[in-house]
Amino acid sequence: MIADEIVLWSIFVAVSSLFLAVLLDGLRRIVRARIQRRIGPPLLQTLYDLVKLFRIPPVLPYRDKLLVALPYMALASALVLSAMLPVPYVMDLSSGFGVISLFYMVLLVTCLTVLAGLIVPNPYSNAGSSRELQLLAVFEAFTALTIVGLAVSIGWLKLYDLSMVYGRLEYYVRPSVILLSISLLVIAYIESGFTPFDIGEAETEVLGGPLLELGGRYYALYMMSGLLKRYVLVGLATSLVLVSPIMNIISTMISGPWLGIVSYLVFLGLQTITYTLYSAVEAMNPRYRLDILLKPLLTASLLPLVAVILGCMGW
Amino acid sequence: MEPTSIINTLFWTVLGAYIAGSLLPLLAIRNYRLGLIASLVPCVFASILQIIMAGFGIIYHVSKLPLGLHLDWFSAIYVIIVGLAGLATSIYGLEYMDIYRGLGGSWLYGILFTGFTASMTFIPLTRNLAVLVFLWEIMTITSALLISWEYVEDSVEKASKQYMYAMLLLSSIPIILGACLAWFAAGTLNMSALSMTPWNSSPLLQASILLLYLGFTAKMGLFPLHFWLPDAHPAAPSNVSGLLSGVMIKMGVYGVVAVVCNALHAPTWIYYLMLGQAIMSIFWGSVKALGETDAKRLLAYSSVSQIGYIATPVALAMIMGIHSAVGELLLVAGTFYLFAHSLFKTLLFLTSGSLLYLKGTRSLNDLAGTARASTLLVVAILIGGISLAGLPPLLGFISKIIAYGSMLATHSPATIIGVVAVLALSPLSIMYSFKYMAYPLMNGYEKPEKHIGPLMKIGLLVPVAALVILCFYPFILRIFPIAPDPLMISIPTYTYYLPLIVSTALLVALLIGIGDSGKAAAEEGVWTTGYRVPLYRHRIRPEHLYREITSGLEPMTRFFHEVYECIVWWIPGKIGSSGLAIHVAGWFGKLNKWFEDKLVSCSEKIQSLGEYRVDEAIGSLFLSLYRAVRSIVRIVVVSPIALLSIALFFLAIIIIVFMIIAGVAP
Repeated sequence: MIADEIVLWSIFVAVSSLFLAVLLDGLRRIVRARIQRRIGPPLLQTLYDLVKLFRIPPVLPYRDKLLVALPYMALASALVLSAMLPVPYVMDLSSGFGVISLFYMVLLVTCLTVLAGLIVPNPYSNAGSSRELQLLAVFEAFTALTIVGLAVSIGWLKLYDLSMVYGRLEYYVRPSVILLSISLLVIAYIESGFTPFDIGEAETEVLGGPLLELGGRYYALYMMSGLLKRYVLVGLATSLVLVSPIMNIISTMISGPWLGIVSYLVFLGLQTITYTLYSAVEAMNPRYRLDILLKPLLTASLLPLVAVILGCMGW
Repeated sequence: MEPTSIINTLFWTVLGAYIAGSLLPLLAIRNYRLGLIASLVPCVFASILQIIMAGFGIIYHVSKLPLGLHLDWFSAIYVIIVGLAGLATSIYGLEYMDIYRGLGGSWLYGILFTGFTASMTFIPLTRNLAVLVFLWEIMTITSALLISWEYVEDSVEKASKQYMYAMLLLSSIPIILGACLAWFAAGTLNMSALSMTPWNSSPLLQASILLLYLGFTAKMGLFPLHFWLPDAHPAAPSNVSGLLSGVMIKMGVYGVVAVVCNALHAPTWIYYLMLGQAIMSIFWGSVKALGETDAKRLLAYSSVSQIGYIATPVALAMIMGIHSAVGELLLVAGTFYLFAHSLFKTLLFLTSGSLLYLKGTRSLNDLAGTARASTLLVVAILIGGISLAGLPPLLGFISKIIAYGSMLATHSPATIIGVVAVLALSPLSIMYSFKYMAYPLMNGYEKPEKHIGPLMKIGLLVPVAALVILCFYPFILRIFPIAPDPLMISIPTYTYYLPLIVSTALLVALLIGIGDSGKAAAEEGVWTTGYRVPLYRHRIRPEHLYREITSGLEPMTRFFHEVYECIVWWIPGKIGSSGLAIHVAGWFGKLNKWFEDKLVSCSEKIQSLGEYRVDEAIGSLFLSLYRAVRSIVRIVVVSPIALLSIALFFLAIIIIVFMIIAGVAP
């Protein structure tokens, strides 16, 4: 059975991730505003938005148990997903599950959102869901090749073990692993829907997005699950690419139970920096039409493909 | 009692039930419902018992069955698959077949259905190639007649013809000739004895391997031999479609593994060819399913794609050697996927049957909101669709994770190509399964007036219950002999716990959501930017849902479509328009016309006498037999190729029966 302490720690990680995801979204909005020479909202603006959304009485197009249950299910999956986030020396659900399972949980959160947009007879939300799925399908080749690259180059697919060994010098400086690190950062940016990859949602347009027909707390629940998904994807890249090598150095200096706490603090610090950088990139990006983006996304798969080939050659 | 004697008793009971299912309908020729009950109830009984028999066989390691049959883990999984799918489709058919009441002949349907299920149960149990071929032909003939059941529809007649052509030329004849060549080369048709003969010992044996491979992969519907599948599977009654997609196509996998690989030790390049075909099947089936607007055709194309997912690890297992540790692991992964696919595909075809039953159409656009007629149907579509998408926590996800893990256990170029293809193409399965789910589940439309009855609901409940139980308690699946060491490398320890954790979280969320649903203000209708349009226009049409991707792939789909049109219709069409064919068809048309005229005049005379129905007056047996023969002849008597195939087919059957009787094929 899964040990009790892992279960308790996983619950703590899931709940704390939710608050951290909300805070980091506030940071994202501030950074974006500053780059665009605006004052921007306060750090807790996302939290205020969520509180307000929970207070508004929700209005639905039709009385529908399935449509109401879907946001709750999306949040539940996102909470399980956040407990799978691997951080070196921190034992949560990542100690038992693999990187493929993590990406499937990401897919589940996305698909539960998409389904809400598809079962409402509104062409705008249908189109939002369709765009989301098509983007996902085209980009999956990139993700698939990165996962296979990790298996070939590192040899580990279990999340916790991966976060422990990824930063070791014998792996970290290999050409294939350098390419995989870039791929992981790209996956985090694209799959978590930073501009211009928020085509499904298209939040600045008047019409669009799978969640068009949902208001009040149901929209808030989906918003929370989306923020958690982004937190985990950015966190995965941060943990493997940045935290893992730093903790490999720190672990030679200190040991014992403090290592986990230090690792988590290092992770939080670096996660904030990654979010800031991503927000800066996002602020400088325009929006694109879906059909324009599909081809470059497919071509981008060459990057992890080269990593897989190099990995097979032992480089 | 000893486990062996329990299993023997169960075996004889299963066999007895199938024999009863084939004979009892003859006593109920005049009564449509009784004809169904007389065949399908024994099928239900046989299905339950064969699941118990196979389960006992695995637990107590009993391999020998009466009549010289054998049960190992691989064949036991097949027996369980046929049992579960047979159980669901038989119960469902008892009520669903009411929509075909006008065609009559339920007794004939019952016999064919029983023969179809029984043949699929016994194929994996035999170790004699002659018996396997004999059962294979029973499976093919019964499935062809079941597909042509609604032969009065032009589309069904066309699909049945195509199925007959494809199966006779690409499956039946190659398999029969392959078996004959194997006998000429090795002097035996016993699979254990055949495995002692090296594949390169004789050119005849090499030809035999190629023919058998062709025959089995055509039955699997593996690219490019899949062209018959998207037409044939939807043409059959939906419960039969469930068996065709859920079970029959997997018999091809069994044939390749047990005969081509295990008994004949085919050269490795054949398995590389199978890997390439499998990857193309995944891609092609998915792309075609994305553009489909017909619910059953979408599911049929998804079967083409899913058989690719099954064949990829199986082909890799054979490349690695099925008796090596990695090969065994890959074979288990493929079989596991096969098991999962069988359950959810049977369920999905039953849901499509329910939608057809409720609305009388297969068009996704017209099915908008239809599933809302029944809560169970909504649940069944969600569970089947999410399983097909391979999303957590259902069985489709577990099987995909095990397939990926087993493929990543080694880093050979073949496994890497396989796993990249399967991983990269898997979102396409999410897209087509969501397309299938979206339209029937749409809210806001009026519910249909018809209701699905209790027996159809029980039929749906069987696979739903199996999928839900396995997602809360996946440890049952440890019956699979998974080799532990390589598995631990690539599949993390708690993989089985993830479905449990996710399903518990989702269940809690679902209950909270249902509890909350009454509190929302509702009935505002969808937001259409103030523009008043009728509700049926408030949605994207299915053909436009994935327009960016489908239009990007349009040139490729058009090219393949034209190639298939040429192979499948133009060439037989040219031969069919030759003098002999026209003569034969004209002769048959005259005979048919004469016979129908006689029937009509007879019925008019009888109706003028009193209140008797024509069926009762001239005998339902005679009329139904006439209908069956007419449907067969209409399907096959159109070209000399088909006639030649039929003649060869019967010749080969006679040769094989003779060989069995003469004892040359022990």
